[in-house]
Amino acid sequence: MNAGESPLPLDGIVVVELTDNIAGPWCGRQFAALGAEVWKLEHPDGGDISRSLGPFIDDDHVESSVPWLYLNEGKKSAAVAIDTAAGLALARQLLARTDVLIVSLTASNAAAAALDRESLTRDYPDLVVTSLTPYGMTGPKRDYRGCELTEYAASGLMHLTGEPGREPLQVGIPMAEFAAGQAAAATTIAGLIRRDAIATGQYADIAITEVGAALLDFQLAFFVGRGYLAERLGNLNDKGYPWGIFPCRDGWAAILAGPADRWPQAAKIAGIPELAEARFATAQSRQDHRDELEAYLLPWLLEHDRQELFELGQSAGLAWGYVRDAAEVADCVQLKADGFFDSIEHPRLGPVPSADLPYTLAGVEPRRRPPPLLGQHTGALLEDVLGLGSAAIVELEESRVVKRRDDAGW
Amino acid sequence: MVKTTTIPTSEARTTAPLPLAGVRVVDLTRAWAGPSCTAFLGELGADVIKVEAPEGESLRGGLRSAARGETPRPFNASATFNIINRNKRGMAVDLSAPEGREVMLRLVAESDCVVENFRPGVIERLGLGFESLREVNPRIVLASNGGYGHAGPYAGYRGYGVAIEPMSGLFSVTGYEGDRPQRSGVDHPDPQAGLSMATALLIAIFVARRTGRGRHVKTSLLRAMAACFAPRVIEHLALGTAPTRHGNESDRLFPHGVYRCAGEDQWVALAVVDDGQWDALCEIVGRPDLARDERMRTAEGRRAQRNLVDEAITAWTAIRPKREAEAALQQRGVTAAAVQSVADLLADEQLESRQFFRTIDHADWGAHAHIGSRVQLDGKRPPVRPAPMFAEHTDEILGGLLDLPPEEIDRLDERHIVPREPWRAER
Repeated sequence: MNAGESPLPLDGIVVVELTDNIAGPWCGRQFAALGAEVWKLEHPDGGDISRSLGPFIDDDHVESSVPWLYLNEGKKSAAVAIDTAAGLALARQLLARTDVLIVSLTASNAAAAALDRESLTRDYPDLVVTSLTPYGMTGPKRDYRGCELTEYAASGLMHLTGEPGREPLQVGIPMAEFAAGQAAAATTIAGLIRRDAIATGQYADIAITEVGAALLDFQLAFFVGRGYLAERLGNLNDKGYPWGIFPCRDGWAAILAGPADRWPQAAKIAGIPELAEARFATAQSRQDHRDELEAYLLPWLLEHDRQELFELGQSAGLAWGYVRDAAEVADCVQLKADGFFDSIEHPRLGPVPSADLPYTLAGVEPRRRPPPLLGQHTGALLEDVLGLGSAAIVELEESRVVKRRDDAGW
Repeated sequence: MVKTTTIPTSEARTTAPLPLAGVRVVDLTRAWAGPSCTAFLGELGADVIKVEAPEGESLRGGLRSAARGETPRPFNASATFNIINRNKRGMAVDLSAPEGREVMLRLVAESDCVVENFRPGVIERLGLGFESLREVNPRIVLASNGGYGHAGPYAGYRGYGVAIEPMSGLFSVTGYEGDRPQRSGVDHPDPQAGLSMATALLIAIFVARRTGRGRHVKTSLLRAMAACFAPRVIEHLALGTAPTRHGNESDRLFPHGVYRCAGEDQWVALAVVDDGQWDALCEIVGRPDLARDERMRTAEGRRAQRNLVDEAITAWTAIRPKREAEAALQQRGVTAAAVQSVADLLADEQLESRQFFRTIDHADWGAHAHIGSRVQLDGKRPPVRPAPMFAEHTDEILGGLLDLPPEEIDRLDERHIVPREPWRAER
């Protein structure tokens, strides 16, 4: 517990991240915000790949990458080359003092480093380990490479996205990775709950492609239930009609017949009594009479703005919405009321926009600290945590196993 | 922090109970976000008790559902209900009746968490708000999921995934280059909120078991998705950019996209993430000349010659099945994956070797493939249990867990407060 602050849920929990990119760090970022001490072991040459992904806030292409900043708030960074025997030995010393390890290594690399399931369970029996890899640590594809694009494809999500007759699409934000990182967070906490009860660790093997495939509840149900194989439908939807976006005066409005019993309200608010006729009374009949329905609906939509349609629909109990871009999401009055988007003071960049966690816990004010500079805490790790003497540390630096920095840099 | 372990080896670990063994969750949620959250908790070993309305949860298809005429109980044969609600026990309670509320509070006394997704204010009006729950169980966690949120200007607004996705910004960056906004095929807001809710409530349970005090945790479809869209907002606020749609392109990598394979609507996705992969790709597609071409040494250089690159790749992929293309590419270390349909997933050798899908036999629906679990724990997949039939576990919960005498259970059934059959008041 930090003096003067209320206790955070994960105070006293030590987490090590041997992971990078999106899924693993997304998990670790939540732990850091909730009080855990999160150590990223980053390679001295460049560190976490998201540092180099961009877009960049300024011309510092190591410290100012937007995905890096968002995903790694509140963590510590030690620049350790764990692809060396000496670096791996340091990591192992740290693991002996750790509660949680989030790790992304292929099966072969993990085995070679004795960071696979058998070795970790044997060597660190109380450690809660969450492995996050594209395909998992077992099976014929365990050493396959993956990135968001291919994970979205392999999981079944891409096939359903885009227009029929055109190529399938990824979505514009890395949802396979965000879903997997979120599943990892929940699974890790479950391991900590068990550890409090029966004093054992856990090894969770999470495949990003499997978390993605697990989102296909409806599509699997359609297929096993009645043999209907879901295809991409563009703006149409298996769940009803209308149930998508339509052009309106100033953009795109999300118009849906939902809740289903509220559809007749659309006739009222549009002033188009025909919309309440029997031929439009059920999801199936609206689908069957789609052209007729659109003949009434589309011209009306083109006479109104998105926000107006949103408010009109909601006031009638219809779950309408509209397409918003980044600027509009930043200005969302609901998210503003939640204080969701905010700002973090970065030691080098100054104030950097940021966002709160995807959930709130009553009585908990998440800890908001900036992401670390690469290797910012190498010294602290070696001296304070691992208790190494200066001669040993210099030796490690000279053999390029670790890198310390002073305030000016390396 | 480091304790003496009682289970030192990996073999012994495989016989340890699941992580959430002994955790009990009362699930009042309906539709998708909440039920997918609690299905995940069930995978991790929690005892999830799904409490439905007396007429049955909407996804069962209602009393009128006669779609599956082969069964006398069609409300137990809804594929979507059964897939989404695996790993749970089930009962039905009329929460608006005082005795129904009492049954709930007795359940709460034996539970770690209540999960709900009613509209704001409803749970309190039912007398089951956090303060009421806390009185019977100081450790109880209440987890509430909403559409737009529980307070604020949109708090009363109805939130469905298909509308929250565009509200969250995802549509604005999804679509073909220069073309209209597109939805995701799966509708991400519900399952993403479900995973976020699982995280939040488990954190609260972790603390409650240490401190003896629970708390109220909340999320919403909007918030869960905004957290994923946030980097685009940050980019806009810091740089003034207006992120938009670029198909399958990456701003950094080239090639990065999908290529047609043999057959109808068959594709392979591939990305060249480092120079070694570019050389390997050129060799595989039989174009070593491209690897030697100085213009192609960087992603930008390749992008400037995109027609050349795309044609070279397509000439190779178009005549092969997508699985063959994926295997050939991955064997040489190139990041590639066949674009899979649900049918493809069910035949996927990786998923099969990892037992991702499992066939479960449901008494009123028969044997069907289900999503088994999304994580492998200590070398094993957790077992999967079928979704509950309507009120299937009423007697074992009221009698076994709550110690109510049989006469009392019968009386609650007769009065439709805890019915054993779906029931709706005549209107």
